[in-house]
Amino acid sequence: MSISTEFITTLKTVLADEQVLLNDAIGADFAHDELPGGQEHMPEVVVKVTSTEEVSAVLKTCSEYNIPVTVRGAGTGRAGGSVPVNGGLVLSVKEMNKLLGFDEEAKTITVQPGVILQDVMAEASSHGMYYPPDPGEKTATIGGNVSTNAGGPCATKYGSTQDYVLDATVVLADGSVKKLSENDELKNVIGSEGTLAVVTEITLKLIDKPQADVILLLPFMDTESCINAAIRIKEENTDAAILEYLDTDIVEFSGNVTGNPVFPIEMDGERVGATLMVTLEGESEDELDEKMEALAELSEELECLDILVVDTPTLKRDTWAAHDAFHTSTESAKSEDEINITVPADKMAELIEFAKSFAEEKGLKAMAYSHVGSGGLHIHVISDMAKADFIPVMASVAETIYEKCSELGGCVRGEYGYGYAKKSYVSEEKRSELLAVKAALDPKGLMNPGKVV
Amino acid sequence: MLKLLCCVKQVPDVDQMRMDPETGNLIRAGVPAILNPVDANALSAALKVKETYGGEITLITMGPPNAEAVLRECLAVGADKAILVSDRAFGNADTLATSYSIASAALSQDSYDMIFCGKETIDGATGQMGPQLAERFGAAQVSGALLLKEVNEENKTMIVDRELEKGVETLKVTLPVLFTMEKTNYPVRIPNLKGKMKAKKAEITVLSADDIPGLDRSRIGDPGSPTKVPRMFPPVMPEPGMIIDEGSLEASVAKLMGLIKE
Repeated sequence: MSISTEFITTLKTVLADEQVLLNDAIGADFAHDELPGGQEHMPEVVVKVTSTEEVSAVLKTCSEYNIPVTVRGAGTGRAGGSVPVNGGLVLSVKEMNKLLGFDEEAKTITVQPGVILQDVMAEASSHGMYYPPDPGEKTATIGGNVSTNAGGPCATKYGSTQDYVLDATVVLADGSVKKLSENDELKNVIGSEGTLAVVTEITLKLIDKPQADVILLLPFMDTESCINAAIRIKEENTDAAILEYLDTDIVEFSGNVTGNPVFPIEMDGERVGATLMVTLEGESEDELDEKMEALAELSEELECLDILVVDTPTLKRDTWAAHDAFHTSTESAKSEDEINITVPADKMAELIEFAKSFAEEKGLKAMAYSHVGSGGLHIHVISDMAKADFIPVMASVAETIYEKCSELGGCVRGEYGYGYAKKSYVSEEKRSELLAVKAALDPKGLMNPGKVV
Repeated sequence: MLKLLCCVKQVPDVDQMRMDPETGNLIRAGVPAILNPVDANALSAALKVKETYGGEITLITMGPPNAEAVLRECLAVGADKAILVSDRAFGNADTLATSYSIASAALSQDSYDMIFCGKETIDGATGQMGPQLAERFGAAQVSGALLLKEVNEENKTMIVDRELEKGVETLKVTLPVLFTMEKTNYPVRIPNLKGKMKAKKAEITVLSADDIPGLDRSRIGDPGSPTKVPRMFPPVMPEPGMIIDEGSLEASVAKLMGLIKE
């Protein structure tokens, strides 16, 4: 793809000169996201937009000149979704970071797509409300969360981003602006990884913050009993907001890096195999006590080694900090990568054990944590190998694990989307379905080419 | 059996606290009270000594009746007994009066081989309480203690590593001894459900000024406090910094140059 001078000149009639970056002015970061071992793909032009009108004008121009467009937020994705694999133009919405409105009565917040998740959460919290979807990366943009339909630990109870987007303003490939409200078209756009439209304004539903909550940590001797317990707790209808499987290997590794271990590694001199992190919520401390007592009764058949109670603000903060550090602490390893997939809960233990032993056979160390309720599984793989040696070994390990995932009825898309890294795993059925939608919205195929569709 | 005393304090969760810029008063409304974080590490150190050498841990705190919540939090992880020193007469105390009140209350109940304190609190942050208490208990004083080891009950000695600005000092001390503990080496314990339930029902010894024999009322509370705090004010914060990220080094430098010229 080569971009003409005429195209740039036209772009500069709709944007200020400083909004259009070319050649050396394009930072190296625009060539990649946080996909470990990802390829570099430099765009030919980057535009920094600030409004729906500017997005519309840029897309209209790109459509006229047949220039592919890749939308980019904070670039925190780990599947290559915002990487311009076909070159062309990168549309940076990072500066579309304005909070456009807060409706206390309707319990909604309206934002531009470049607002980061932690700011949405903080704004909601300052009004005593709660925005539940949290994929862990709190500096990710809301636009990125919408494009991947991010979920996270509390998806067990609260669902994912699609359950919170009430309406959105989108710009289609030809530059036309549409307002979508809780209809099929909006559903199609959420999770489409930038292949259908650019979301420029988003109204999110907020919920009341639970009055009381407690985190329980249940250590187990092994992975299987831990995940079985999570399934049992869910079946019992305990209304757990979070059911998080934590492999002791990742707890220990991360704790050594951060100096904040929190989760149990040993109990009575024996190594814990895994810990189940359960969050219970209630409208009063008494209601929480009742829920805890019910869980304590159930625990006798769960084979857990103990029930630890995290109920003070300090311990809760430490616990979440330790959990959030899982995906950052592994970056301290000489080489690292992450496999993010979704697996049915009843097959999760099998997949984790398989991944750990297969990685070990290949000289790598795999460590996992997962949201058992929603099936989201994060397998972090680390090694002392040099990056150049690690990448091919990792690729073969990932491929085998993806195959196992499909065999067990899981989905390799995970929470980060297919990006370009996993696009070969999109099923033919899914691809045809997406193609039909894309044909109507982006007939020239200019929106984020080389990805899921 | 070793007798271990652990001094703890209920403090406001400073992460959630604001200061009224006009009056300089702390806005405590709606701010949860928590156990002073490093006191939890001090308690963990006491628990480790108890687990290794045996012993009994007594907790003590001074504060309003609701300060019993932090005592129950500490009982839940394995402390054995708790004393709450609570009386309006103790109000408005500075560190001098507080250390006198706490030592008098604790010694009215027992004597102690080891006394554990956090290095400082997150509200007052004077760091004075440990050293003052050491004097009042007639105990050796090890501030900034890192690691407690080799307790010899017969000779009443032990070895302690202590943090220095550039290095670690190993000391041999004679009991009784008071430590002000650092955060490292003794991670905060998480209580289990059984411990929580037991702590909920535990009896706490509440001592008023009248309950402490021989207490000199002129040395407690406001009358006993030579230090007065006439006013508090929020620190003057420097203007927040700015990250210039224009996508490339050249563009960022150009932006910076533009700002300097402005």
